Amino acid sequence: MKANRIFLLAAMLSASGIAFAQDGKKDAKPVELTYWTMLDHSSKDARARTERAILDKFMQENPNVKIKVDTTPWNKLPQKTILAVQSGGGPDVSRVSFGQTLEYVNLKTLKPLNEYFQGEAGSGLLGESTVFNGQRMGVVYTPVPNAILYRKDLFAETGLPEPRTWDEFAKVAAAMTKGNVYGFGIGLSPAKSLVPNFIQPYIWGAGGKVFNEGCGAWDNPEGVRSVQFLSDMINKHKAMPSDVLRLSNDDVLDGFRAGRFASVVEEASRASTAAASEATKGKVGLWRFPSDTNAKGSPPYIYSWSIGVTSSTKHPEEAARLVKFMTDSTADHIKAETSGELPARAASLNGINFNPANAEVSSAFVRYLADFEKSPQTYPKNPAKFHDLLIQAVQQVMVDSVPIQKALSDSVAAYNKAVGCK
Amino acid sequence: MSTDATATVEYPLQPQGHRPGRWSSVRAALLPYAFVAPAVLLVIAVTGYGTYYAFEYSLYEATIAIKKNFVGLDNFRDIVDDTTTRGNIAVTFLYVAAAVPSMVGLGLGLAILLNRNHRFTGLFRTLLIVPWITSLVITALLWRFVLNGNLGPVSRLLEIVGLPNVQLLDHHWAMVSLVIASAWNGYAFSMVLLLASLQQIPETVRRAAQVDGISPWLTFRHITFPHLKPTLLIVTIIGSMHCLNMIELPLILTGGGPGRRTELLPLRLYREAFDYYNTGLASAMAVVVFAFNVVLTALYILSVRRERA
Repeated sequence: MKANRIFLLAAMLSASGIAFAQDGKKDAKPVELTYWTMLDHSSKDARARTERAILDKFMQENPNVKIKVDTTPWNKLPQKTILAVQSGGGPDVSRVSFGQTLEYVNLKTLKPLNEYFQGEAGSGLLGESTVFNGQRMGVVYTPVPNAILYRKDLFAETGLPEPRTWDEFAKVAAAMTKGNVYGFGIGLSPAKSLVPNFIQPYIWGAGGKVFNEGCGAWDNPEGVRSVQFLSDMINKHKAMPSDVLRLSNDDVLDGFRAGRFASVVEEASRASTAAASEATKGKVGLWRFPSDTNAKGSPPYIYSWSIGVTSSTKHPEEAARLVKFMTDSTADHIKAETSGELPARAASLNGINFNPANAEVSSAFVRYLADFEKSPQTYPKNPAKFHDLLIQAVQQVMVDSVPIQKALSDSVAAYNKAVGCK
Repeated sequence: MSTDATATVEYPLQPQGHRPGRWSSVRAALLPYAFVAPAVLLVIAVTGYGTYYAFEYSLYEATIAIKKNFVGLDNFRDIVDDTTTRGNIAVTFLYVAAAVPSMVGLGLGLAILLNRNHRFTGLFRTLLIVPWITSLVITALLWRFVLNGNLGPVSRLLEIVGLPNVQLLDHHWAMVSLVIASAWNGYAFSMVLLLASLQQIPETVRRAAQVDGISPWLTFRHITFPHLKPTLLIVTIIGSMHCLNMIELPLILTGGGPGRRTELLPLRLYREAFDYYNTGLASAMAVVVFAFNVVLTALYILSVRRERA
């Protein structure tokens, strides 16, 4: 009987002890965050492995937070997220692509993060693209600048200096054109093209504007010169084949990997793919977009992936903590070492070790970004429409011989009508 | 056994005490409808809701299926006013006008060939159905490779025989290439239905024509073709709907280009809805495509009724 009483007392004491201990760690209450991404964590994709490693590290450091990952194809992710959040569900944290950020913002899908990212935590971001009217709607996970990737061996054969101006670039591209190899390639197909990623730097580098207070303005003399340059590369310099009109950027990248193109416009995220073929291994270098006025080149076009907290989250504190972790220095180093992705923060650049397979190109991309910290890039009101109309304008010039000025002016008029500009 | 005795024996065709009345006949008449009702209701629920949804959203300015403002018929006005959309509609009709006869014609020709008994008829029938079971995405990727002006087998073949290289996806040939790919993917459906229909023609009728010395062409024209007409109507209607709603082939094969030469209205609709998130305008385009489907089908049916009359 006495033994029973002692046992009962001990049980009561330990129970109250547990209760006190839990009371003292209110913030350690278990929380499950749902994270939506376009990367399949069960795949061998380097970017997916990187993201998995970052999430695992976060859960290790925050044992009370469990992260449930849901994968959706990148082109379905915005619509799925927006609709889910509108109906009160959806994830706590989600990947947000640059192209759709404004839709997220307009439809109040994202929660402003200003209170969580004040001072240092919210500054020094490379490729910043998530602040709208002073509201931080997400944080850049990795910037994806564009530049010209080239074959170092083919360039060395020309004996020419590194091109700094557009004329020099045209000469180098023409000199690299031999037999079945073309000096330059950019996919101009309406299916998938990086033309806007080329034309915008050209315009900025020449001192022009692509948008003026949100309205289309690329039909300026700089815009006309950029399209003329592309046309000349085909017809005058013969450095680009006419079939680029039917090639997507994927086709051109395949061509570069197969040795058909000596230089191509590409995104930083695909540089490792570009350098991973028999023909290109260890031979890929990076040129900035040339400029006739600036020795540092033209500012790059930057596409970026961000991480945002949805407005429907029930755990804003933990969600913001996850966003901060995914974009801080520790995560930046994991990205660089695992997949060679560029860091989100300029502060991470000290002592960063990029994956050796593409360290040279990644470092060159970072220097390029750092030189243009203040980018002239503005967020289009309708990025997809802008893309489509600009590509169609180039197609009209090349296929139907429409004068460049007319094609660009028509595309600007159509864009401005679509977005409600007069 | 007397006749009276046999007259008293009645086989109980109806349950005892049950008299066939009006209710029974009504029930018998309704029974088939009751059997098909679940399937019909399911189809109505699935397609009816989608159709209603498209009609409703076509009257709104909407982004990602979220209604903003009621705009009445403004989206339809935009379709009519926009030269690009008018171009899309023209390209769509050109495509339908070329692709449907191609796939039905090819299907008919192959069905006639397969209707004859040869040693390898079974094998050919199986092989010729392969395009039908190939998804449109795979079809597009396959033809994109075949028609590639630099690496594709067609350009290689031309090179081997010493002919100049033809860029089969350039602005002169893109629509032709799209029609060829569509015909390849779609002929098997027509072929299977027409073959089944051909096999229902009594052999004696054909033999009689043969005995009477009627030429194969006249046999086809006066015996085979009239018999195939209902099936031809069905495959033409289904083929037209298939082509009028086509997105995958132009999206992957040509991307709608060069320029907008192969950008069919459904592809434009897809882009408005899923690239530009312009759900209102995309819904209006869907209503227009729906109307084209209805009108085209009505025309086909009317033409056949007129023929019968």
